[in-house]
Amino acid sequence: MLRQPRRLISAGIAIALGVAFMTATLLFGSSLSAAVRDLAGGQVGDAAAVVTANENEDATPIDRQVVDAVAAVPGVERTRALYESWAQLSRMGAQTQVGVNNLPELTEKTTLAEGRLPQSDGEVAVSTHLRDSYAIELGEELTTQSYLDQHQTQSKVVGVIDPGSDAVTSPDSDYLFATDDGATAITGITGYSSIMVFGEDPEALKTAIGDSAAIKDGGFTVRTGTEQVQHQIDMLAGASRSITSFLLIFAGIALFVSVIVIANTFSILVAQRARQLAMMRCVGATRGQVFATVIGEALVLGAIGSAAGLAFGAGLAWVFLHFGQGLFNTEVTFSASTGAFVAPFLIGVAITFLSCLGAARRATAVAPLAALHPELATAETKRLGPVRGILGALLVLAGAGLLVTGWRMAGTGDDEAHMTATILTAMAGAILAWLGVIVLGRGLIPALAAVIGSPLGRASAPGELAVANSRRNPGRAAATANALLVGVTLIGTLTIGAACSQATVDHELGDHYPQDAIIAPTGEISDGVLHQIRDTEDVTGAERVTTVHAQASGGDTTKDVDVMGVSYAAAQLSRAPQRYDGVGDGEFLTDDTDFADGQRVTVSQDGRSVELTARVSPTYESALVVTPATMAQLAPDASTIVWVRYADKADAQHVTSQLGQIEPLKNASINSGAAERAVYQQLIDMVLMVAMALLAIAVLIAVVGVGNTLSLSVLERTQELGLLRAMGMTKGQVRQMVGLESMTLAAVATVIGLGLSVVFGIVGARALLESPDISLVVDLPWLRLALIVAVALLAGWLASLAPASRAVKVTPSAALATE
Amino acid sequence: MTTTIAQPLTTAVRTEQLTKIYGQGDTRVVALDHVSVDFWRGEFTAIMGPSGSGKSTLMHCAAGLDTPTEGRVLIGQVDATALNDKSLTLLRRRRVGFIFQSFNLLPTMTARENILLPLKLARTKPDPAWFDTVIAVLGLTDRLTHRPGELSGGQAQRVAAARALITRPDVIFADEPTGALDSSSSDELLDFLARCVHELGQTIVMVTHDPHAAGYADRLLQLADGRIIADKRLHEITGQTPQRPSRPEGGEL
Repeated sequence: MLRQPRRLISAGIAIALGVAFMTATLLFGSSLSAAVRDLAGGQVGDAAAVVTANENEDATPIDRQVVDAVAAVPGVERTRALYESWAQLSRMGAQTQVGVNNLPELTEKTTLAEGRLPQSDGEVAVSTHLRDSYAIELGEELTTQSYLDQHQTQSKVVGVIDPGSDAVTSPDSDYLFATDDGATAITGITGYSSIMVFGEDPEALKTAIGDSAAIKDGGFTVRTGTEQVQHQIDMLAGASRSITSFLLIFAGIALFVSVIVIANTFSILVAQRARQLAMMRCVGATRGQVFATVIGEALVLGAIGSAAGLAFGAGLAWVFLHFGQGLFNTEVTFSASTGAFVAPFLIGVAITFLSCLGAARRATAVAPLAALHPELATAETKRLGPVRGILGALLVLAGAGLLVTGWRMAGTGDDEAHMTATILTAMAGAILAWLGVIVLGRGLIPALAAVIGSPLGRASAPGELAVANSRRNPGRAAATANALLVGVTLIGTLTIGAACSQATVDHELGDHYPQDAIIAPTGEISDGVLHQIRDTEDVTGAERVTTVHAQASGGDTTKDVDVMGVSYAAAQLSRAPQRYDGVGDGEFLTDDTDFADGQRVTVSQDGRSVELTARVSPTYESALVVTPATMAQLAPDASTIVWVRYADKADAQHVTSQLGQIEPLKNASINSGAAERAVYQQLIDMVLMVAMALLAIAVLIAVVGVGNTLSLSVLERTQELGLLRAMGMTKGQVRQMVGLESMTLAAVATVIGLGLSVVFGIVGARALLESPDISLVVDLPWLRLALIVAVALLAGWLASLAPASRAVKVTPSAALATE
Repeated sequence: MTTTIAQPLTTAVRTEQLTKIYGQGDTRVVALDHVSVDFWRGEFTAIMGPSGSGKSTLMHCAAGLDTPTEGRVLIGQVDATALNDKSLTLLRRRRVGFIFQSFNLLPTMTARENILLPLKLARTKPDPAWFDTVIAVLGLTDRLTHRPGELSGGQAQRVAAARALITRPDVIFADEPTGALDSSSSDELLDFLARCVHELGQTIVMVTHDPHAAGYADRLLQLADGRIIADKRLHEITGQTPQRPSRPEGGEL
């Protein structure tokens, strides 16, 4: 076979792609670990010991007294207390989370880029990244909100700090730096996160500090500097390890597809060489020698393919790390461990070896007599045997059973163990059913090809021949389509799962945030401002809604309630209009079961009161919803907020920040449910995109496999092609025939793959999301599914280009030549 | 002696100074050396010659399967050597039929589908009357739904002959059609070919190395070293199948 390298190119490519993926993943992982090490060491620097607060929520904070107590321990030369917390920064209507730290020490890595360091509590410095993201200028007032108690703080920007890894954990992120008291004032959270202790003897210092009363009482942890670095590596490395194992799963999928492709290639090659092998046996080759020939070729191919993959993967990782720096919050430089090079190479060779064992075994079964009687050497057409048939059916049944169990289990319990069990059951079901379908491939794929191909067959002679050819060798067709099926099923499942998750999340968020945006201005909203809001791009409507706190008493119940005056127009702006719809004068809507449906309730506020009829239903709001007229009676001076509806495809963040720029709304709070939904959508989309990109490698390998099978089949059918050409089949028709054969296989793989995806995606999303509070919303993303079909067919057609151009090179006289 | 000529003697295929040279320098082989020959309509011609005499090359070039180095080939009135691949393919599709030695049928199709394939490629409707005539002459009526694997060698060759006839080509080229058949199947097939010529008015050019097979033809061309060394008329073209010294006509044997 090595004398016919062209036949092995695609098998080599399949190995190389799988190995390249793995190499790139491992190199990426090892680079990330190195970066983590660098990062973890950064803040600790040359501190001899480090005191940290415990991580649970009610732990004692490290306060000033503790710092002073540590500083007073004999042998301590100097201490530095680090304050690290978070707050929400509001700017032009957009909210972002920023780190809030106390002032760092200025060093080589951490420099003052602009202005000066904050000196009083109301002053802050921003990190260069924050300045660049939000175009913050010196002298500006920033509004921050505490996560603890929601209080707002105004701070003046006096400087810009370019932080290094010795100052913060991720230098390319958003930070505010303030004095110790200033930082505490912004976040509302007291207590330092750690104290760096500088001194001579780390071990002695650790013991001395650990023994001091302040540390013992507070339950703080003391580590030497070295221990602290190791501790942080362990914590951060967990993250980088999980990224690496996530990627390795995809590399594993790619390698699995490679195995199918390589095994198929070798079994075709052995079938085609049957006469040659028989001749070897005739002239005295033993079975062992025939076996060794095939295995030897596989090993050489595996080694070459793996080496190429290694080089390619290393190149990819380098390019990615070199040009993709922006994706990380810290600098990640290319760093290679020996394992990252050795493991993929060995695995590449090993899987090639394993993949061709079957083919090598079949090669030994060729009888020497076949050299003399060509009919003995003709490739057996492998059909679905009873063993495979029964095994496949059992797997499918078992898988279906588990899927149904997973479906039933979903949503019946809320604890984590139950959720995990549900997810595992559904996953096991999906894997079993999928393996069953793959095992049944030899029967299923030719049968489906006949069904899908029947319109093609009626349409034209090349179509008819293509469909017949695709079914000709069931074993080969199944292996080719299965390789593609793996990728299509995974992509389809993720797409459908993501769409269902998105729909479910949208539904839930629609409940939590029924308004796209709620503007709570500091004062009145004039008609002019309301018009300005309505005229903002991508805003489709805006209405005033009034709110007031009041007391409601009916029967034995008296309680404080929120009352909202919602007009019909305002209700229609909501994503859940049924919550507000149909309220009449003299009644209120609520889901508060302290009130009974139909009960007469007196609502009073600031000396005024109205008597209203309660209408209670779980579809309503917790606040009491009344008509604007009722509200006018109850509280003529109720505060006004504005409900805003955005266009469906609008960029919610952008619209929100546009609203924030309307002059009278500069200080208003804008609460955007749409933006909240968009955040989830972006998250889901991003995860989906990353997974798709990674699965694309597996699909690429499968497409190479399709091209490979076709090329080899074309070689095998030289005479037949010659006959067709002699009989008047044009080159165009030959191309069409090969292309349609490829597309038929792609279509079969896509139909089966998407069929499985619908089941797996919906069951999977239900297993992941359904809980007693959340019910799954099924949404099939038709457009994306159609796109998958289109891409799969296009891939099938592309895979046929090389074999087709080989097929048209067959001259008509080839049919006349006998072997 | 006056002959009853059924149709005017026009050429189905004509070659003019046909030359085919393979290789260059030391490996240069002249496969055909200025061969000029006319194949007449309604004539059954056999081409014989030893291996390497150029008989296959002559047929390939005359059938428009291969391009000659020099000279012209006229199929009907069309100069096949002046056509591009597409036009040549269409010319073959309309004007030329083939019967090969061994690999003749597509294994994925039934006998009927194999016979109709050329029409399907050309997207034309079959003429049912002609189809019935052809399969009746070739004795294939009850074999139409069989796949090639279920046919005997002789039956498979007759299916191939039917496929060649179905388009009513100007000429059928047969390359060792009896090469893989036993002698009774072989006689049967040759009988059918002769009937096609004499009863259906078909033109057939057959390459063979078997003198017995050549005996069924009206005319015998002998080639050696790329040249025609003999051109013998075995039977006059009468429009009727000449009496053979062998078995009775028709029917399955």
